Amino acid sequence: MITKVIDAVVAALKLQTAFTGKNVVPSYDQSLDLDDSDGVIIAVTGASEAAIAGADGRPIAWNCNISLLACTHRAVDKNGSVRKALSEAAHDFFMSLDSLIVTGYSLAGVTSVRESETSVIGENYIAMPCLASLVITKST
Amino acid sequence: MSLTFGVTSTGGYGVLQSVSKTSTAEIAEARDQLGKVTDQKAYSKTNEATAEGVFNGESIADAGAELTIGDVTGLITNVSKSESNTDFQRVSVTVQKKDAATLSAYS
Repeated sequence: MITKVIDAVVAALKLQTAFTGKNVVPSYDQSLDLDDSDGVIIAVTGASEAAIAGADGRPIAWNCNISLLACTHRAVDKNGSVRKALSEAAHDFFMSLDSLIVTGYSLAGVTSVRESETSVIGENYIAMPCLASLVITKST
Repeated sequence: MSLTFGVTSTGGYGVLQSVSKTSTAEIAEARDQLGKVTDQKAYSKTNEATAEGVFNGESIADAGAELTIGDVTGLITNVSKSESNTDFQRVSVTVQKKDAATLSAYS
């Protein structure tokens, strides 16, 4: 289920002006060659936890904690302006998110949007995370 | 030994999260001259059931209406719906039936 949500977030992000033409990829997809990334990668990952269960105890709603990492190469984005803009755009995206196209599931709400500290990934990439908690319900 | 998991009763409103049934009796007592209870007589029994669910949009009856929760068909003595900005909307309803009373809904 979480991969469907991640894919939906990736698809929705690609429609945003700030992310158009950028390498927005789900983190499970490792096919992108960094040499072809132009030094900018937006990686989306996530994890789910059951929020509500039906009478039989099986979950029918989940809190999906989505993490978006705006990663830029230190040589391409020395002052961090690109990843700063991407992180801010991600924040705005999650704050205004009111629907997601996820087969079999639907977005019921967004309970948290937050940002975290800049971190170093590998030798050359710097990442600014934007995190969001999406409430996803199973469609009847 | 057979253990049962989950909510197997039906009734109430929404996606059931819990159902509980309580049976109570009214009991008359006779005491001797020292205050010790010598006789007990149960003269009335009340069955009450409460269901809690996640609201799913279905219409909810008012207090005083007749409703079945599990094996208790009675009159609604309490019904409530709660909303929160950090949780799903929830609904709780309690029905009560005393002895073999004839049920007459509020009108």
